[in-house]
Amino acid sequence: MRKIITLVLIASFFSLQAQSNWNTAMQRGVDYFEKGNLTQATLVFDRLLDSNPDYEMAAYYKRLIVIMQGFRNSPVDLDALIEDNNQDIEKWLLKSTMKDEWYVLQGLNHTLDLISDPMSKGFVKSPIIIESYQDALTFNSENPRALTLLADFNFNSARFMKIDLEQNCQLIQKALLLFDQNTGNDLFLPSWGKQSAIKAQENCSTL
Amino acid sequence: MKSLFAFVLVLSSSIVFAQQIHLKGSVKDSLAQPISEVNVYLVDSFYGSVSDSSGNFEIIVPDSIVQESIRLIHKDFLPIEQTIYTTTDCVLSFTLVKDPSKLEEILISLSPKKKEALSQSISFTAMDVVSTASSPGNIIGLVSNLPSGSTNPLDGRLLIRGGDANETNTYINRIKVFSPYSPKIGNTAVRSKFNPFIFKGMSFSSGGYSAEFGEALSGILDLQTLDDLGESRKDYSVSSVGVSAGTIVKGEGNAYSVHLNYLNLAPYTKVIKQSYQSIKPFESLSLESSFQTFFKDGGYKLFTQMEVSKVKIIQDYKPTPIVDTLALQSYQGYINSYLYKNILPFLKLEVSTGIGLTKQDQGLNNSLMNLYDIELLQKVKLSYSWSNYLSSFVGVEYQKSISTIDFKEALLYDRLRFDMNRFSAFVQNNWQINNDLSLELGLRATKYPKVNSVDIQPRALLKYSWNTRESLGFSYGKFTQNFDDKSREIILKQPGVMKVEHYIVRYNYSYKRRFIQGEVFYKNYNRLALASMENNHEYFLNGKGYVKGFDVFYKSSNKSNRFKYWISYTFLDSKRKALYWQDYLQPDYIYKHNLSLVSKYWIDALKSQLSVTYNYSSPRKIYNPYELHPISYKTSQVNNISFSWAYLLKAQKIIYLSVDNLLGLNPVYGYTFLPNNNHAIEQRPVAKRFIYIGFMWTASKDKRSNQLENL
Repeated sequence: MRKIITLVLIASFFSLQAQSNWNTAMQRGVDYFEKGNLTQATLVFDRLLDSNPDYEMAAYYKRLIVIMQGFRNSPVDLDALIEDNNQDIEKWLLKSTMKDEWYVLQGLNHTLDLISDPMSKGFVKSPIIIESYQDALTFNSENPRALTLLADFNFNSARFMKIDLEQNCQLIQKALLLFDQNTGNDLFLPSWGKQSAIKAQENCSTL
Repeated sequence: MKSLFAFVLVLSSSIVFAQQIHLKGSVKDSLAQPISEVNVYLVDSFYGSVSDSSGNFEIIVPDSIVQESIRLIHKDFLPIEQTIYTTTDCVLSFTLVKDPSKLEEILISLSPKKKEALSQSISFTAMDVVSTASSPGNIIGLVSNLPSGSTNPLDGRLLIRGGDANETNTYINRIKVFSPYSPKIGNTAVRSKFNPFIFKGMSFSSGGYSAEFGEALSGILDLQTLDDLGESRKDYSVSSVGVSAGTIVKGEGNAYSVHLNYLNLAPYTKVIKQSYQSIKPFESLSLESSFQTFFKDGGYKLFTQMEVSKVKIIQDYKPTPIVDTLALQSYQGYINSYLYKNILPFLKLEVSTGIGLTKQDQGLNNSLMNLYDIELLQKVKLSYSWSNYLSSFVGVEYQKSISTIDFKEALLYDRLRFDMNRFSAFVQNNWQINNDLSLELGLRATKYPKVNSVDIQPRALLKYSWNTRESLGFSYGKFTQNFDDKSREIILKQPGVMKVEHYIVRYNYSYKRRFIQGEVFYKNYNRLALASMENNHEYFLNGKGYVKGFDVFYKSSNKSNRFKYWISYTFLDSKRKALYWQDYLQPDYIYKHNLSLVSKYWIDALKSQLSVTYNYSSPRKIYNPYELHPISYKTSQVNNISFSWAYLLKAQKIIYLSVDNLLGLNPVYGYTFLPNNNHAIEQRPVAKRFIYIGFMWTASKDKRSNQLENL
């Protein structure tokens, strides 16, 4: 009996240690991400995904970084990158437990596509982008990133069309409230986007 | 107690001491070249590092012992893993092996190009053109394997959805190309004279196209020249039919390329027997150049092409004793200039100019015909995005063409001159009504000097997408075209243009690696040229006709993208009362059924790409124009299997083999009829098979670039 207890204790210890290593690595990756060191963050998330391709959090941050780098760097093979992102997002949307966050990434990815050629793509992509953020809000009406990005996209469209400024400002207000309410129970759940909401709020100064 | 001791022992082994171990190392490939950006990490703890440009890495482990596996990952190499046990600093070295699944990506894939696809069109890239058996390097060859596309087996020209070859136009940078084919003589087939790799994207519309385009009753092929010529490099090739050399030079903010191509079929026709006798086998020298420069919010592209060709053959018409000597000497030049600039963030200006020059001396026995063509086309277009939901474009286009034909026959001399001027204006609004519904409305107006009225052509496309994968579209359009009367035999007695209306319903399904498209169409022809009953040289625009049918297209690939295939089927039902015939007859270029199966397979072990294409066309009906009443002659059905094999000898050296009509079948493609002769003379392929063998070599700083794309 004692042998069994010993083995169980040892096995559970290794299991806990492995989990601890995962969490430590994940924390390291998120820290890099939050400090803007996207290259180091990508390396960590790549390691976690190499070890377990079904680790959703690592996959989420990896894809988020790829999209963010797409905005920053204008890669040569942008079309291929967008298609890769799209396929990965669609794959996760089928099985994810945080579909709202993946829809937010989908909206961002379509936005990346739009800004590569706004003249010809703006027309087709705009309703698709809005639909992605609305889908995110269908799954979680209190997703502050979806609220922020939807309002921000509408603010950017104000140059070409009439928008309801007040309504979008309310979305930003709500998003800021939700960002502040984030208790941080799960360290790795996405929490980015507050700065974007603060910036987007500048559009509301005329109200 | 023992249990507790064991547990404490295990626990203590993992206690982190304030000590570090440095794991240093280097990563190289099988050629001992350093590899950068290798993600090196310890599998359990995820401590890691990345290799630098010298292939070196260093991992600092905050522990007194390392007892786990170290793993190396890189997108282009196979991962490796090795167990390490050390209590001190150590130096490691690793060799990574290339991931064979990435070989295809490095060697034969093109970076996807942005396509300015037309509404209701299929877009493709140069890679599609060169890697498809039956169309190596020939854009027209590829289009003939797409739905509603086919080529006339007698002359190789493109036929779209029940229209004859003159009803299809080729555009480069949205400007009509007057002469898109290589010169031809007798029963030899033409091919597209443009290298597909100067184009970033190609769109093929089999009807219902935008108001920006005109002068084509059936369809258009829109080619967009590259925005980026690529890195500096030199290419050389030698093949069974000629040699070529090219260079690309890239500078600061600009680039140019020059490509020289010499073809001589003399050695080939000596080895492979042709149905005609060559006195002077086909020989041509062509020079293609591109220049591009970029400036703030815009750029400029200039493309030129020059070609000199000579050929002289003797063609017989068995079983008759008639023999003709045919000769051709051709000089062609083409200039395409394209300027674009964003005047405002959402206002774009495009100015396109096309100039074509042709001089051809054609000999038929003792008679000679000299043709001189000068053609100019100028286009200005403005596009504006009003909002994310509404965009518009507006433009004008002017064409001036002068053709002079000198006929010299014994002591007779005759000169004909044909002038064609045209002014067109177009406008189109593209409106995204809501998430699911979009509407494109266009209008094109054309004025011909000889015609009093302005010809108005409305165009419309309504598209409904009920999800991201499926859509249903309906398009309608009126299209006009000038009748080509450049002949001594034709006198057009009635000024005006030929007209057709298109009605198309299209369903699309696209998801991941699968694409399905189905179309049902109806075309109603009006004002076709028809010879008068009293004088068959005099033509009036009172002919009529229709085309109805459907086509299906399915394209797919496997997960690794190594195996790709598509299936295309078109059914056509068409009758016309036009040209010589006062009755409604099926035109002689119509295939009722046309099927294409195209497959491509990349095999790592053989370092090869194989492609097989199968085409089936049902028999056509041909009528003898010298008979008073129509009597139809039926051609054979055509079954053609083509095969190509590209073998990568070394990274920059490729051997290429292509065989058309692999089974050596000898169908009757058509019939030739001669005046005052009752024989229907069978036309069959000029050779049993067309075999092409080539060797390509690229000299470039990028040791992975090669000419697989230029086959």
